[in-house]
Amino acid sequence: MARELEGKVAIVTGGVAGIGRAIVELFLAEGAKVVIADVQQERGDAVVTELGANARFRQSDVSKADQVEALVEYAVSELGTLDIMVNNAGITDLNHGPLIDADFSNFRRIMDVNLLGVMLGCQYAARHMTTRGGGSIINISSSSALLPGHGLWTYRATKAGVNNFTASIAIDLGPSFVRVNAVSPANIPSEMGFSRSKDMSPEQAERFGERVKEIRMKLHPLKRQSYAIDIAQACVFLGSDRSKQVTGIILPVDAGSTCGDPQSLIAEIAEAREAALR
Amino acid sequence: MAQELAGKVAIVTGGAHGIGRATVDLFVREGARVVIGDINDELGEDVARELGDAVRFKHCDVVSSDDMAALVAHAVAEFGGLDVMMNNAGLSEPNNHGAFVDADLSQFERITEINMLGVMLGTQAAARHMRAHGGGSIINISSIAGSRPGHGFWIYRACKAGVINFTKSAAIDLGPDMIRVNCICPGNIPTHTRYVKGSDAGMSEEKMRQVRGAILDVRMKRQPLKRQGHAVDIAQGAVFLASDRSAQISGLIMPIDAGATAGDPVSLIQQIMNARTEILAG
Repeated sequence: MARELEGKVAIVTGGVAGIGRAIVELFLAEGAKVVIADVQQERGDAVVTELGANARFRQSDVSKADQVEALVEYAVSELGTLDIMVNNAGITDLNHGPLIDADFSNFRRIMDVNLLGVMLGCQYAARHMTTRGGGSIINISSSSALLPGHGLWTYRATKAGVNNFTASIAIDLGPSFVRVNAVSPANIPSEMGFSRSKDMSPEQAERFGERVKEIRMKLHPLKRQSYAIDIAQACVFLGSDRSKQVTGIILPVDAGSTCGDPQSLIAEIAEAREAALR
Repeated sequence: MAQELAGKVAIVTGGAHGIGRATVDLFVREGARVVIGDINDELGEDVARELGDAVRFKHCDVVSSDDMAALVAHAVAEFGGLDVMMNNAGLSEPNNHGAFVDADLSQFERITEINMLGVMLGTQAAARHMRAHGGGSIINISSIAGSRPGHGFWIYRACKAGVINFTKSAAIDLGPDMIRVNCICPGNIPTHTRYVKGSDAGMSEEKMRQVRGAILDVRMKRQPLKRQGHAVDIAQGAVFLASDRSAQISGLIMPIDAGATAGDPVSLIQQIMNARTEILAG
């Protein structure tokens, strides 16, 4: 399976680590040239040194319009055009407890990066793409948007906003042949997902990571661990010409964890019935 | 872009024409071997002959569980396994284009059997094999008529909505066996099963082309991406869902519709602002 993105130019925001890094690597392997955008200058420089001439780094804060504008200009001037924009940069919400105890002091920052950052990325990419006959924009959302629930209040809301915005802008940009889709990951082990383990020793963090996987796997219909590259594969499809007729979709890459209720209440009820009859 | 499905064995029901045929063609180009299951023997055998060694035809009626079991057995016997099952065979509801009070529900049994029971039996027969062989990928073809309720096609819509629900339920049920189950919702793909009314029988080729063109124009107005969809666009989605690239994707409902179901493509805001301007000017 090779070379799905031959000759294409992409930007991946938040591309130095985690899902973004996996997207960058797979895009390169599929023949694309990639501009990595991230706030982390040092890591960015190290990553492009490692990945070679088809990867560039441009320090950017996605919540700042002038920086996003400069990022798109950089891709066009350095690599000649922009075919694919992956708005991947995001930050998480450390509210894991009940709503009444939640701390909203981070609200503005999470909104700015996760939602405004996606909007600005779409806008500046689209301003270029509409002048050159189209392109593909891919926003990275989260299963926490499709499946409302406990904790991560602000994060969830931003990702639900990303899903709605993705569909809205697909409608708005359709006449210009700019396709806009979202990928919705779940349970990907990355720095962001396990940010709470920073106060642990490496050995404790690894044990904690394993436990988190086990807990989450219980709610996966498909009993296969998720990896960042699974998200990257979906981005290859949405970035390639195979998906020419696909726009406005929210694509969960989550082993089925948001497609319904994976717990069989029917079996539990039958057991309860048996127990009551005994 | 080549050979995404090298070494895989697939079944495509309703594979003799339309979306099914386009999928068979593309699967073969991507390195798969394919068994076409269809009730149309003549057409199915022609297609198999045309495509050569990588394709077999097996007569099957998707509403018969015996036929479906035999279809799976045929793929295993001919090609040594079954990795991908595409439940594509379907039947439209040609006469119910009008108001529901006037709808003819006499076709209910046939339409629900093919569109819904056919998908269930195909999924079951494939899963019985895949479960014992480390998993596989099942792809059901629904329709945007199923994901977005609306006028006409009452039975067809309900079936396709049923296919969406069943796809997710089957994904949950078959996940532990590493069987992925996903669904594609095509929108506005011109095929010979669409746009044909009983009264069109005597129409000239030229007139028919004009009628189809006019219908496509109407649909294009509600489509954000102004590109005409083709059967191969659905086949490309099926290649992705059949390939190992989608190894972590199950229970997905994937529209391939140029954004037709992304939301409301008509800008009410613009109409309201225009109305406001008109009133203020007059």
